Amino acid sequence: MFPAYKPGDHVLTFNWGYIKAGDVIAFDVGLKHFIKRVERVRSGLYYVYGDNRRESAKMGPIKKEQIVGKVVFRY
Amino acid sequence: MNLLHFVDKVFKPSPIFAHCDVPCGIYETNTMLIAAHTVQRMVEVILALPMDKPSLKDRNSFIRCVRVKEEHAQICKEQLMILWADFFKAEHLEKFPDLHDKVWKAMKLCSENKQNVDAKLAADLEKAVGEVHEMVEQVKVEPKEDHTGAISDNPDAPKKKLLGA
Repeated sequence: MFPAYKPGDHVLTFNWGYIKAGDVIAFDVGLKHFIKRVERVRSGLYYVYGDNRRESAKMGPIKKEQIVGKVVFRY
Repeated sequence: MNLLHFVDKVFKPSPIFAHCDVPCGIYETNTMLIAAHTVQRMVEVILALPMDKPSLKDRNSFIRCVRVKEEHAQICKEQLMILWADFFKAEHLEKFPDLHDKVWKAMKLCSENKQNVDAKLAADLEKAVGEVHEMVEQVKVEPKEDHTGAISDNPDAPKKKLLGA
């Protein structure tokens, strides 16, 4: 997610409100939290990508229940 | 800011990752196709060897071919497993409802080709692997960035660059 988010950054997420394309979200896959940007929302599924696609693993669409929250603040 | 960091010291935040275990996202089918073709070729060579009174050279060739067949059947099986476990996603199952069955049968054929020297089984493996390759090709999205990270609208751009076109 460089340069928007760097290793060691802390992020604050809110889990209410509407999530749209372009938002950065935190979500769960298995037992780990992930951070990626929403590219599009279709049929209730959130298609997410890293900001550096060549480096990022492609993930399948994310379901709403997997979403921890929208990243609203980095510190 | 300092207050938030102080809060984090009291209430430890969970770590969050931008990547999965291996941040490559690179998937290809060439290795699998070549491995399946190698199995087929080894079967062909083995079947052409004289079975009555084979010379020392024939015996040596037989052992080498069996070893290569075994090795490439295993490579083929591993490549299929990687595609099945990592490349194919839930939405691909909607497009190819028989995906699990096809990959499973292709992997079974890898094992059967290890156990046997059978031209039909080798041909079946090539066909099965070809079908999996077709599925990958239909849904695969090429990386669209060029070396500067700029995004191209032309999905064939990286391929053309590699081919020097």
